[in-house]
Amino acid sequence: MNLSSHFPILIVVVPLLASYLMPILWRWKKDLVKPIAVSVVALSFLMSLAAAIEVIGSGPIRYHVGGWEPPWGIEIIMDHLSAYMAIVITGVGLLILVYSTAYAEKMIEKKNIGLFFALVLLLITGLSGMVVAGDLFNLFVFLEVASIASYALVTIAGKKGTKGRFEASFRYLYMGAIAATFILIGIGLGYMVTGTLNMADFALKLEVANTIYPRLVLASLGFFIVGFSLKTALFPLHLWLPDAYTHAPAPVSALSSALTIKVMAYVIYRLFYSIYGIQIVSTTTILPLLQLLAGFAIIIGSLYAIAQDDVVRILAYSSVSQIGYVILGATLLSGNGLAGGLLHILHHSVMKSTMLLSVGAVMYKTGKRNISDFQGIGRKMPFTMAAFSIAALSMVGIPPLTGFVSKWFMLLGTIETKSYAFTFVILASSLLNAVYYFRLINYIHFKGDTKGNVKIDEAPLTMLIPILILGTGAIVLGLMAGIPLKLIETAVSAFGI
Amino acid sequence: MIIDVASQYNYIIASALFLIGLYTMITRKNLIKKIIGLNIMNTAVFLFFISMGSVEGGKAPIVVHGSENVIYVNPLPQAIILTAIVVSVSVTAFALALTVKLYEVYGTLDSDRIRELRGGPR
Repeated sequence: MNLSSHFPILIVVVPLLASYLMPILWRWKKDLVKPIAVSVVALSFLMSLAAAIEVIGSGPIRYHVGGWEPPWGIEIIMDHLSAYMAIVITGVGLLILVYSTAYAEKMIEKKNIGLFFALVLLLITGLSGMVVAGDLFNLFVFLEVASIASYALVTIAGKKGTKGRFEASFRYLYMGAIAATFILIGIGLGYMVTGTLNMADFALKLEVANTIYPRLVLASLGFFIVGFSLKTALFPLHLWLPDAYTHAPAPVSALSSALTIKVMAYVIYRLFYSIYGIQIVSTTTILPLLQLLAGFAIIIGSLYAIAQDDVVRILAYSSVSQIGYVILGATLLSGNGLAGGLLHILHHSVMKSTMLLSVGAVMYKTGKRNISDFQGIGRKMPFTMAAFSIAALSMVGIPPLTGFVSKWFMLLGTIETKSYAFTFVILASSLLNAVYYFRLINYIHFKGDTKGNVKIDEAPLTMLIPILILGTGAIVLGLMAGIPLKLIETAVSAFGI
Repeated sequence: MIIDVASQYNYIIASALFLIGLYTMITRKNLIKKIIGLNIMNTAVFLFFISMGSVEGGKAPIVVHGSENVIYVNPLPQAIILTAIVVSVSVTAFALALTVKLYEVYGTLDSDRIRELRGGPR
């Protein structure tokens, strides 16, 4: 056995081991912390790419941990969808981590920096574990690793940290814990009717189980969906999200918005199409209900965003709205709709992390983030704000940019399934997005000079470069959407649509 | 019918505990009580899993040489719950640590009062 066959598990294990080294290294050799953290995630990213190439070449990789055969042993599955998600997580995570090396220096208390990197690595471990997990219980364990790391990350604030962060974290924990309990019950009910936890085996046995215990199967799916809707902050369950983002340091909100809630939405796709299967899901009322909530999320998230004055809160409510798109994609029973939703996972994580990191860079320089403080900042920090504006335009859906591509696929999906109400929702939401993003762009570039006579310049290069890469990504990924689509289309056809 | 339902009393108790826990979490203002509610809810799930895997007259699932005809309880839910307990303990520990911090900052454990003191939408 050569090393490359172990890549699916190493993607998870390497950051996990490194994360526990971080606090120790911070006491012993401070200089090593940041290079090790960055190189570990870079290694994971390279391994994800290598695994993805292998998956495209020779089909899904099934890795049996410890050599035990499933359904008894733990199985790690790297199929097209997992490979895609692993690349998104480790790639965007790497850029955010590079950014945080400079950000942490100034914005996070010195004694907490080791813990900060440990938690970020744990979060990345948990998320990548969730996408490669081949059985439901490992999914739950990695979910909790990721969740507890993100609760704690919200409370790690800088020297200027607000007191509200403890309350925000408590509320996040409180809702997350309810969600985790629901998910555990979902697993229990599923186990009762199938007698297995291995996802592939579970899916097979569920077909028989559904004819004998249709209500239990429905109940287990219901518990799962409620739990993951809470974790992904779908509209009526989004209450934890804006506060958590407001008080968390910029890289943490970027990680959460770009990765955490996306992975939770990915699990909903997995549950619907890989585990429960389209035959069961399409006959339940869960699908139209979730579709309705996604529609509300898209519109109401945007309306809330318009009413905010704090830039981070605008972006947070915009995330609530954008997660609506991802969930809407999951509920459209058409190839284009699903592809659009999955593509939006990548596109939104690139766009939103560009914006949150740019706002973080402004915070780093000025310490302010009210919309009026952004007046004229475009002249002082031209590169950062150029990336921010491109991402904002992309979010609105201006044609060659990324946001347009995924929305286009979803529009095609709504037309194919004849759900014209949602065609209207997507179009109307683009207009609403334009309202608040153009307001921001107007303040940044066209509202005259900055107030007062303060000297502001660009953030340090380690912060600027990730922002610029992500900002360029917002253009390039729009023009070259064919590359991720290669993985996504195979994944969607494996869904049986 | 009634006897059928009554013989499944373990699930009824688990559901009742779950609802008690959820109700406590949602309605109580005191943060400690919320955490207790969370623990009751988790306990309900543990009961649900463990009773699901139990077999009447079943022995602990340890295979001893020469004992082929022994009935064992299902070990898998027990293994799951062992992990779930660890998860629950760590969530509780973190929640309690946050409560200590909240008390230090606001001087109260009442969640409504904390929201008042925090003020505004932030």
